[in-house]
Amino acid sequence: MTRLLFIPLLLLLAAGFLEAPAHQDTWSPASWQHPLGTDEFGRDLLRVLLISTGRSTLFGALLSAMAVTLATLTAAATTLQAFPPVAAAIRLVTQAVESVPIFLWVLAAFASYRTHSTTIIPIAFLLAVLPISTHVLRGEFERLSREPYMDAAKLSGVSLLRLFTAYYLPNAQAVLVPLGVQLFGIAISIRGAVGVLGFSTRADCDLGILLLRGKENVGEHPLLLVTTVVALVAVYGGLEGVRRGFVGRGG
Amino acid sequence: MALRACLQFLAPIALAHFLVFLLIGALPDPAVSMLGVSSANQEVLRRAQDGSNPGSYLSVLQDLAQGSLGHSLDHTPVSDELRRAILESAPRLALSLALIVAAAIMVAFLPNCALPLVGQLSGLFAFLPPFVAPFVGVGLLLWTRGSQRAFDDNLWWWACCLATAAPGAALAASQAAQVTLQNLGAPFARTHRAFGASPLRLRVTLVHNLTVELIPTLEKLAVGLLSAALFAEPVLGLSGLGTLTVRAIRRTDMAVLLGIVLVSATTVSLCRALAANIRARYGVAG
Repeated sequence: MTRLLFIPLLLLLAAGFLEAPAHQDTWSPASWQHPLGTDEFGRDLLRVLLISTGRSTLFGALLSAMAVTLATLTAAATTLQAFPPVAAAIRLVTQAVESVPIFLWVLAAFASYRTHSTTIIPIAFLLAVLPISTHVLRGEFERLSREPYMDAAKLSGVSLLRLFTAYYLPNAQAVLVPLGVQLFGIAISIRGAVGVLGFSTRADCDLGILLLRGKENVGEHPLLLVTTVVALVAVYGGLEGVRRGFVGRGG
Repeated sequence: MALRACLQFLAPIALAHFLVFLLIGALPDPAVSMLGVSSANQEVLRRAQDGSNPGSYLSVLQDLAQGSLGHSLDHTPVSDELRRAILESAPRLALSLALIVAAAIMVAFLPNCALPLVGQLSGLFAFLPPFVAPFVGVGLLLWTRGSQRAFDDNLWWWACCLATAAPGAALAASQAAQVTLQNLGAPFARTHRAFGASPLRLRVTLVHNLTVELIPTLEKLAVGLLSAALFAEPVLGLSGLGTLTVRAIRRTDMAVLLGIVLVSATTVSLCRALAANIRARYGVAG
């Protein structure tokens, strides 16, 4: 069941590479040609919605994959080569980073360098989530390192790399995947937040800016807001399904 | 012991403040990247920013030691701006917190059969970005009444409270459902029932356990409330901490941003300390 949820996610990722050409009629009603009508730029609303959802999903997938990889490597390095001050430092940085909403971290960086938002948002996101993710994964790796089979593996002379790839990673899946999904959701919302607060271009294919435009036009054209909210709920519902599937599997 | 507790409280605040300064200060000014790096432009920028944005972190610390948070780009003391914003936001945030607590308690008294469904639905809602609730709220209001001008300020104020509380309430409800389900199947609940406790009496007893279990979430709820206010206030057109933050981001007002970070970090650290205190009182290890 969990694997079935990956199929619509993959289709959405593919939709992110499409383009939405503008037509003559703006805000045209629903028709066979345009099932949800057109938007204020004369673009097919369904197509815009699919592209926006796809691009947000793609952005979230890339960022969460990067964050999980970096956090896993950092957590593994600090767990396998135990050095108590590092653990204390990670805990302190985690507390400091968690003291401020993640949106504030990313938007503060964005405020300083908005001309290069495509680079700065991912960097700020990674900086903001890395300590927390590392802290969570370190906890899991430390728990695993106390398991009897880990002692047996170490005593039989298994190399550190093999220990990490064959013992730590597969057994930490119940934490790794939900963490990845959580970061996936946060990354999508970061991109949306930039649009929602009006920092991106109105014609951008982005769920945040669609929400903003939907709110502005809700009186005459409620479909834009309704469909954008439905798209967001569908994406997050799918992610939540994947997360619950893995949490359930982890017991 | 007191010194250690004091350090544990202050260290994350100081580090968060420093990290945000580093994050903003390390990046070149957007105007610099737009205008280029010729000395004439740099001079214009320096003059324009003179007395508004803090220079080095040492000068920020010196100002802080003197009890000053610096001046905004409008040359207004940041402390005044923050005080005004906090006074605007505090009643809404307090009411939102009350709504969150009410949601958790309500879930604790739901029938057993409803708990899994409530847990799943509220879990999904808690996972949604915090900016969805204000848009759904404002969309519903505008759709039903047609125009923004048709409402008085009170309605927007209440809508802002609900939109700010919604993500936190969903998180609290989700956790309350999970914890209540676990507690109902726990041995002490069975013992309680065996001694003849009525279902209502049992639930009242379990609320105490629920409080201890949910207390660590207080810190997350504080961050969640601040995040939700960051979107709810500007979207619903109300002034407060969220609107001030968005304005500071738009104008790259470093002094105001650092002030907001101090407020946020202090609030969250207070919640963290409060949670640790309550758990210690109940004899639960941190």
